[in-house]
Amino acid sequence: MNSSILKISNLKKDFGKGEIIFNEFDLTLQKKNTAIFGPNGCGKTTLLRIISGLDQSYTGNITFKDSPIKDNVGFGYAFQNPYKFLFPWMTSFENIIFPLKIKSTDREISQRLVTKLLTDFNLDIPLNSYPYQLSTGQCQLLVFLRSIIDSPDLLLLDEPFSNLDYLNRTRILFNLAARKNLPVTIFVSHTIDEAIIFADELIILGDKPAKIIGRVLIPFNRSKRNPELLSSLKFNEVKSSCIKLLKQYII
Amino acid sequence: MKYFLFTFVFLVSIWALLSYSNIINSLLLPHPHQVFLYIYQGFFTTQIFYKPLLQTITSTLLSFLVGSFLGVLLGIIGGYYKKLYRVLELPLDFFRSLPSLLLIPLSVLFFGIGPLASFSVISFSVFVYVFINSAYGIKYNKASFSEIGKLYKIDKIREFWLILLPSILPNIFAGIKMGFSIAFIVTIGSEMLIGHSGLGGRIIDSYMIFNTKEVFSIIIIVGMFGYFGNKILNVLEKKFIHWKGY
Ligand SMILES: Nc1ncnc2c1ncn2[C@@H]1O[C@H](COP(=O)(O)OP(=O)(O)OP(=O)(O)O)[C@@H](O)[C@H]1O
Ligand SMILES: [Mg+2]
Repeated sequence: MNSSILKISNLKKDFGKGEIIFNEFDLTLQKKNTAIFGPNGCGKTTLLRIISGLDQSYTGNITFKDSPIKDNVGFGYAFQNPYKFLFPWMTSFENIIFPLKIKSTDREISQRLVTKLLTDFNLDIPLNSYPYQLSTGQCQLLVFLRSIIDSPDLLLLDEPFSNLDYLNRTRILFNLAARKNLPVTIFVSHTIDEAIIFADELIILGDKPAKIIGRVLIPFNRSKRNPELLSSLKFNEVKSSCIKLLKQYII
Repeated sequence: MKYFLFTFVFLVSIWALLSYSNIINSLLLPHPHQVFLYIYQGFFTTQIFYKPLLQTITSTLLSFLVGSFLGVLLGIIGGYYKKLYRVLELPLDFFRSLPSLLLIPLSVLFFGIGPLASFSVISFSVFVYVFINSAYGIKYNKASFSEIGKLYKIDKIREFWLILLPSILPNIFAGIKMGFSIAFIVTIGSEMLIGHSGLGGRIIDSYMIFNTKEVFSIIIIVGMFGYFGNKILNVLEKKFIHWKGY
């Protein structure tokens, strides 16, 4: 059967300034974890905003698991600019559990979920501090934790770890890739290595307007991925096949 | 605090210098010790300042509270309903540009000489400032905050309490701080103009009989009240809107 997880067809989008971001853009995702890679300004964030329903001024069709993506899909979204998307009047803890609060989840349960997430990812964040008292990387982690705390149906990650140090970022990525009951995830990444660590399929976009330059299947079993992968031959083979697709654009 | 004390001592020294050396006639510039003694007596022996101070404080606070409350309430509604805001925009901008004391004669014609005449003008001027600030807060609310709510399909009531209200608190408070200063200025002004009550009225009376000691005393008392009023509001702002400027 040829069922798709996410299907975008005939997407048209511009911001009314003459520049067309998407024009008759089609994209079908069949894998659970997709990474999207593309140059600055090609429309990755715009695409995530359209999928999540935050931007509704477009034309085209989007289905999630073969039914129109609408109110019944629960989204998680790690925004690219964490500072803009954290409530400064709430502590770290309050920010993380915001989606649970909307669902009137019991506070004790919320507390337990946060503790579990922090142990799962081996993170230590001052929970009683306010966002303006945290480092940029810590703020980004808050946005990330908030996006997965309520186990969404569709998780959108927009450069979620760009401010983390290399070790932290790699560790979290492996952890996330191998995570049980990870939702369907679209992961926008600016680095190929991260995309390969995390995704089942990598989609490379070009710009003006956005188009798919290439798709690369990542042949690793996700639950068995571990940091040794990084130094394996196979990893580098996949990486060079991605780079080959990009070659003509690098010059 | 160190600077505060230094400046205070410095200013009083200049005053003392000008006054004790008779560079300025002591009829115009009374000696510092006379004025401080006068204030002390005015509160503890002759007790002439209690009543007017109480009147001024009551009038300021009452109209400040009423004006602020209505300003916040209608400001929020006005921010929500763009049409209401547009209807009110012109008259509010007009009255904001108008020195409120100009309305006193009209108010007296309507309400007669009495507390109601000044109360209505004072609370109205407070209202204008608080309303405009609150409505601006909602009108130019940061879109990204509402988007988080939208992503999680938040209901209107929660959106208001959890997102909208906190996000406009800095604006509301800016309006309230301005409102307090306005309430104080207009209260004193209207006391000087009508009724001759409160410290504003008292200063007119003492100036008429050339009691400069009392004139100076009242300036100091009124200044202290305004100063500490603003200080208290600043402290409250720091405490409740700790994220301001973020
Ligand atoms: N609100 C907006 N108004 C006008 N143009 C916009 C707006 N948001 C984005 N754009 C334009 O749309 C294009 C795509 O922007 P988008 O943010 O989706 O890029 P991106 O792929 O996420 O880039 P980056 O890798 O830098 O995050 C850009 O050319 C940008 O100038
Ligand atoms: Mg982007």
